Amino acid sequence: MSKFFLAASVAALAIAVPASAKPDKGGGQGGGGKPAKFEGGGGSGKPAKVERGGGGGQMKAQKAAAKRFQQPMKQERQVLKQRDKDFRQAAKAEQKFQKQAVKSEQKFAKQQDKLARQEFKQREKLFKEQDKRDDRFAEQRRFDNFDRDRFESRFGALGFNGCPPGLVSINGGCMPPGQFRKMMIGQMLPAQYSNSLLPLELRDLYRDSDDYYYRYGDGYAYRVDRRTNLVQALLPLLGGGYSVGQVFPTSYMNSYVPDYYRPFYQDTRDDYYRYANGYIYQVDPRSGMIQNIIPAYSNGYGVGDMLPASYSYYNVPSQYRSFYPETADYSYRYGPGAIYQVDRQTSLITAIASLLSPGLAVGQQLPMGYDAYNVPYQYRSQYYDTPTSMYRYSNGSIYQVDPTTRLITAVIDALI
Amino acid sequence: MLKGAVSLGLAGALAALSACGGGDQSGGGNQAAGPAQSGEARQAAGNKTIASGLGQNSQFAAAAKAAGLDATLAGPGPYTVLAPSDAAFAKLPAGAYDTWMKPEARAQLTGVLTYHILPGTVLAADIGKAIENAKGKAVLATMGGGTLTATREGDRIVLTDGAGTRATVTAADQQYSNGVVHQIDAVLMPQKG
Repeated sequence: MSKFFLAASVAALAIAVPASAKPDKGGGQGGGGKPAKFEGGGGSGKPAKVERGGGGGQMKAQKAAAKRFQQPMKQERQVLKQRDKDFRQAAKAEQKFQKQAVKSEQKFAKQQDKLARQEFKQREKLFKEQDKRDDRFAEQRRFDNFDRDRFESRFGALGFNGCPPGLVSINGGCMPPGQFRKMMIGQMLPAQYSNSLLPLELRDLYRDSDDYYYRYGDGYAYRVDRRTNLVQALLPLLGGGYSVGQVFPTSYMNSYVPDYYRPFYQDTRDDYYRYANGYIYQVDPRSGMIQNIIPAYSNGYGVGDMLPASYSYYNVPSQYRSFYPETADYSYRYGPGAIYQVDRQTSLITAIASLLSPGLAVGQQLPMGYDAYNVPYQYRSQYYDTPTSMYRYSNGSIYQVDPTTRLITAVIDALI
Repeated sequence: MLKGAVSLGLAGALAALSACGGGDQSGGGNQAAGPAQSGEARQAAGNKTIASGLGQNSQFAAAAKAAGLDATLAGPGPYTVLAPSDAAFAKLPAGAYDTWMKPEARAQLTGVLTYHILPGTVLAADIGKAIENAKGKAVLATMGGGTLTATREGDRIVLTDGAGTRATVTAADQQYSNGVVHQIDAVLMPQKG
């Protein structure tokens, strides 16, 4: 702003200076400065030569006076000019200075800005880190809680004996079957089992002898030495010792399906669902007979476990027999949810030969979970969903389903 | 989304055409709508079983082997396997995988793995159709006994387990002689609903 005024004043001066350099225009219209040299002889600055006539003399004098007057004016003008020049230079310098000042001010401001931003960033970073730490902590807690929930609810599915499926209950605790077996063998038979006989259907398979007797303990057959009453062997019973067609023990009828299975296995007029030893039993309410055994965790047992005692004969369903024939090394046993490959020498399960889904049956409603078409490749062109019929595959067979009623109307053997 | 619908429509049209004319447009891992010609699909599936397809190197394959399910997945089946990637296993709480791999946890491991196996051959298009028919939420039964809920988000299929964990199908329709494998990005747990 100041430079503006300065410039203005300079300009004013510049305008003023030439103006003052112009005297009242008496004679010399020469303006700027060349003194008219009218004398034609004689020099300048000489006093008037009065000789040359009367009138001329006066004009001469006037001219001389004018010249004399102009002389200092010239000097003055020169001085003024110089001053003007100085002023302009000064103004320029001032302008330059001002510009530089502004520039450096701006630069300084920028630096300040940058510093401020950096500081702000640092602070933000610190806050973010703190936030992250807080979040992580909260997340850890959430995750811990979530995990705890997951594992708790997993193990919260307390079954008949208070243990999660697959684990064995003993003395108020739960442990994996392998450990349990190791622990039990050579020990006294737990008191609560002393009067618990094997399920009727298994008594032929496990006959008491003079040396030992059998008792049933929550899915296991205990072989007990008569003389010492110590446990000699422990045999896990597939299906908890029960199989389809057997009568479900009334003592288990109060053991309901764990919470998280309830939505899928709801009692109906024709089907009750009960839970024991890791299996869900579908029971006919009137006859008490087991119609289906659904392993709560596939089978509760797996590779490395002993051959289940209740299936000592080849019981593979017919449609699978060609795939799993008995061989010199392996036998195959069918249990709920799977066909097991068993090593003949060790009697241990070596592989799960085939997984089986809970079976479908003609006349039954299509159970939950068969929303998606799942027919094997080689049958897809033949059996595909239309508005009048649906097809679903299960355990080697293709079932035709009425889309409106969801009733299974026919079964087509699908040799895999 | 629209682009997806258009391409799906095109693919569907193509499949329909091929079905009529017996062309070999279908098969081989595309997610087109429409039933695949059985012949072409079989060819696409080849002679490789799911077990050999899964190989030895992934954590899922190692877990399946430990549970004795590698033999299952080399058998006739057919099965639909939802295979979590190694990254999915990394999302589990620390030590969970190692605990599962111990012999004492065999039953739990089997339970978790069979929760990732569906009966029969369910292609991505079949899940999609089931979702449509069920007005957005389809229920899929698993070999383990529990069920999964399938929904669609954009053009992806999302599976939700009993605990609410969501897994997205990242690569679908890897066809084999005894079924199909879909890769998912999370491990599903058979849990309370």
